[in-house]
Amino acid sequence: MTDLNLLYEAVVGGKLEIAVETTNSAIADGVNAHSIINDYLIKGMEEIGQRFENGKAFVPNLLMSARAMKGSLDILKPLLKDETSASLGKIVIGTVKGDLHDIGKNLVASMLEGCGFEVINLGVDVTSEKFVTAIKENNADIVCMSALLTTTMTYMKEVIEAIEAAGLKDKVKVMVGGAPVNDTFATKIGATAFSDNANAAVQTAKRLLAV
Amino acid sequence: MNAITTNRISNTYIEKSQLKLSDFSIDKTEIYRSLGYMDSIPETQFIEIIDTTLELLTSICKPRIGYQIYEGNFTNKGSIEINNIQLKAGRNIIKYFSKATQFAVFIVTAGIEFDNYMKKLRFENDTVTEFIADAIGSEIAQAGIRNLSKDINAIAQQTGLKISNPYSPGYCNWDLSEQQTLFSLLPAEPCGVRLNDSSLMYPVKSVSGVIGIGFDLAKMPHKCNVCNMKNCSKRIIIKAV
Repeated sequence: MTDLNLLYEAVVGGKLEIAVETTNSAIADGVNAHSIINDYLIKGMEEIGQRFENGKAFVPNLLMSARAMKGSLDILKPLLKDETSASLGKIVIGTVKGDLHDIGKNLVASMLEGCGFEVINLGVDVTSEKFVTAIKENNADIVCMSALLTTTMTYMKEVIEAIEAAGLKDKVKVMVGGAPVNDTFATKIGATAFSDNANAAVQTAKRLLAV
Repeated sequence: MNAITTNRISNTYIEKSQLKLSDFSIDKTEIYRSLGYMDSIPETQFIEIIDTTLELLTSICKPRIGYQIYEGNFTNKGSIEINNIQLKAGRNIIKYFSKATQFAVFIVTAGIEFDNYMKKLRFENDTVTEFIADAIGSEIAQAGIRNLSKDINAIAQQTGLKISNPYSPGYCNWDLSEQQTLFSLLPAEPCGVRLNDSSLMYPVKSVSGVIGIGFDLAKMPHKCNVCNMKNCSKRIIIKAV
């Protein structure tokens, strides 16, 4: 019988190979996919997230853990009977027009993906039209915008206005982040939420979608 | 070549495009700090990735530095006039330049080779190495500025002059849009660096700016309280250490 605590430890420790191996072994043993996700993978991510919040783990640890979890999820998703439960929600993410900084945005994207969200990463220098099109095409639950500059963060408001003009305001939650962005700014431009790090972004996305 | 007359340096644009990353003094502590390790060192597995990535980048990166030294003067409390062009650096920076009589307008870049490497990591979805390489790229640019400062200092010392810290648009309240003006004091696409409409540079790990040169200049410690970017990553790092 597979020791599923190994899977939990693999996620916490960011060990992709062990996570994949243990997941395959658990499936062969007939363990329920939902149980593997809820009782071991998510709990592992919660633990590394908590360590990060406490200053006991760092961004590279989060990324390694997210990678291990994603490796396991990729195996489990086809086994989930209910297609909608294969993903916690769809998220469109991008760095706004004029801004080329993508490392923070990619970090958030990786964490969201690793934690079970379906992520559509639009890259950098993304126009409002491109955001709106991606939200429509993917029927996104959340759109995440990133900016690293005071000169480019103002474009987030234009994107929100474009979302409103497209009649999508009640269908999609808007999350914003980036070095110059804060709660006050987020509220001022009409965003749903602000997050100041990748781990908090995952928690916020879960809270917004009640998952 | 620099033509030196009494206390006056005039030169044409100098570009060093044959540099190697091994010529730069890379400070690994700064890389660790950028990765979030303020007062600790990363675990062995991450140190190995940092070392391997740095070694690889040393073999592929072609960093470049370029500069031109101009005489200049102050037209008001917030601007320098160079070649009839106003650089509106703002009062916070100008006070550190106040005794400068000449100005080195510079560009430093980790090079397009670095950007290409990052694209490859992105394509491979190697987020851990991508995150680490990004921190290394920032340190390459900073090491390039240190290398450039040494060059400018050596030139200044020949005539008994001193240099200031480097200052760049986007920092200490110097508006980023001033990049366009600053670039007008350099040749087209200096060191292969170009600006987009938002005044950001390609390749991404590039820094432009100005170093003051004069008799009574000194390198002052950078003070975050003169800048209004409360969430700047550098401020967070300095505060944490």
